[in-house]
Amino acid sequence: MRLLPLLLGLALVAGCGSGTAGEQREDRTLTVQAAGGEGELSALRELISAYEQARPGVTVSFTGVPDQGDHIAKLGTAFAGGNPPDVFLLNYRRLGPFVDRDVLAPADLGDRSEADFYAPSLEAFTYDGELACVPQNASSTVAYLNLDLLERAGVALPTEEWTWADLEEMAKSLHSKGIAAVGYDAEIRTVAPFVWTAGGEVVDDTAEPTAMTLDTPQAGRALQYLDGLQQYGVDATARAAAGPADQFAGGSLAVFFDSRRSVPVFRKSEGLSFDVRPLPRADAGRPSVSLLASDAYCVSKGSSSLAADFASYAVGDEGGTVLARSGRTVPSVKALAQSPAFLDPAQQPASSSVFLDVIPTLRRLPNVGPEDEAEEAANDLLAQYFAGKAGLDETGAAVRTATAAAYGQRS
Amino acid sequence: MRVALRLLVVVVFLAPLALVLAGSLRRVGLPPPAGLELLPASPGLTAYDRLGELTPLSRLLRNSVLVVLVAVPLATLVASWAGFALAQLPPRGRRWLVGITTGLLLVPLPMLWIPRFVLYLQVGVLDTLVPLIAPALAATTPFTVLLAYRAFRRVPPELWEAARLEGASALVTWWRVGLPLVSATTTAIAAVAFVFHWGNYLDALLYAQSEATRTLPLGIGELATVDGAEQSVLFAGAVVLAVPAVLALLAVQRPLLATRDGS
Repeated sequence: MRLLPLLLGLALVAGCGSGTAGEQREDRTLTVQAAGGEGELSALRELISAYEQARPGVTVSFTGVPDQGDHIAKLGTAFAGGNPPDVFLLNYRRLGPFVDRDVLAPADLGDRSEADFYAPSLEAFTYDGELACVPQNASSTVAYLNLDLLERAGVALPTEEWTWADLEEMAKSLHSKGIAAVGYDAEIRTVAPFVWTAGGEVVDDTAEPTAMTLDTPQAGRALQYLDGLQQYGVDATARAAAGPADQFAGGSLAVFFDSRRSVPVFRKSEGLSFDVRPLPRADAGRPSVSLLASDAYCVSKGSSSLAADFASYAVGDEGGTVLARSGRTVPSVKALAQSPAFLDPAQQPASSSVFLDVIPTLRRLPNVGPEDEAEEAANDLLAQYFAGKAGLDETGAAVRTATAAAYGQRS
Repeated sequence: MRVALRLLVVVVFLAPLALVLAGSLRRVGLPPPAGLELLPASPGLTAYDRLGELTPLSRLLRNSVLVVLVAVPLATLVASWAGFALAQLPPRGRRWLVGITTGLLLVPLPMLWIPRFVLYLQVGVLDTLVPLIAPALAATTPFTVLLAYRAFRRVPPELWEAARLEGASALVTWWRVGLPLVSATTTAIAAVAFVFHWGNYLDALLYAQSEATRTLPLGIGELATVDGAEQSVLFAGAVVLAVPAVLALLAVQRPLLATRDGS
């Protein structure tokens, strides 16, 4: 959302971007805004309902926005207009402009200490040495496996140490039995962990990015590997007809790469039996690496103390358990992530602990912004590459140029 | 040949609507079809039932209807008045104002987000239906003003002169002389205003804060993230959103085609 820095800049110039969030309302009223799918928004409504019960007399007005772009546009306008929500959920990749414009209140962890949180999510929301928001989750990209399709093809479940070669072998076996083997969204968030495990980098400098670096031999190897997998599963044409997530949910795809967000959907899919594994590593001996997907509760500057109270309640034992039970998020708080609410053995995936096992291997994309523009530019070019409309070298060079232009907009 | 071309145009425009309608009849819980599906295997209305469960449909509909009931007549009236006034001006001032009105069409919408937000906040109408109706006070879009202006310009000037000689006021001239002669354009303006206000997602997104002030486009927009097994619910929502607009356009089709303004 190219407008965000402008809108937040206007908020600063107008002097109304801070100090007004809570002043417009009575002390016992709180506004919360978040973006997400139906499952995620339902879970948040449940959390808010629990909060209102725990704090009699407090009313929370919740605005759920389905689209991230709309969420950011609404936030930008509200900040610039001097009436932002007290609390809003934000992905770390969009954090920078908010901190740069000084519109956030310092993060208050309440009864929790930093040691209670997984380090990658804390680090992702730390900006200029300060924790800006209260991390809600620490999710990661993993491989989802359709157990029935694997069994039908006589393919064993992979170990947690599996490699690219193992996945390719599995894909060949599945494909030979007429089963669509592997599907993924042709986007930077899928490509990134494959580049990292091959020894490459996605951006030249995570703290101060100037370009994405998919033109290195390691990144090239990752792109070629993912491209090669298409022949055993979902190619660009099939992706255009129905997304791989839908195909996996429908039981027609064996392996799919995504973050925890797919779990509620897959749980609801009739007759779908699935489990998860870490992403395969490039070679034996190389580390498996995954991409951090993390959101946090951010409090607008000037909000009443209730806002901070809500954020700390949401990561507390009571509120955090409500969200953990929804299946949508991997809690950022260790105690919640290791509780039965999250690791419920009666719920799929049986190996939910994989999401926790991979946390030490998590890496992230930049949080300084404007990350959306850079990722959109890269995703468009990656779509061309995976559709066979652009070559490897051409794609690498084009991604560098386009993302350099996007990162160059940072003021 | 002309019939074939007309049929082609009809197919191109109706095909998406037909696919959405067919998609809305697919049973909830089934995975999405691999490609285009003209008719689901066992069509039903489960998606419409589920739509009622997932969204407060009656409240969304009530809010949307309230908005168009007020905004469409208001926008039509303002556009007609503005167009009539422009047509009555001497050529020099008229050219300037028509140029400015045309220029307003080029103003990027995001430039208006913040001033409007601040205005609604200061006036105390943020999170009410007023921000969704307010654009009608400015004829909804400069395009409707220009439409009205062109229609009134086609009226022979002698008629305005005759009305003036009869001592008719501007309002009476507009009502008795001008309006009956531009009824087709007025209908078209009302249709444009209806389509805008009925499908106004952005203003609802930016200025509605609570569940109570949400309108149909916002409610249906929330369904965009339903999973594949509930895709038919999104289609059902799209049908609910589209049907009134289609009916409105069908209703105004006859007067639009039957009259030729200014003649």
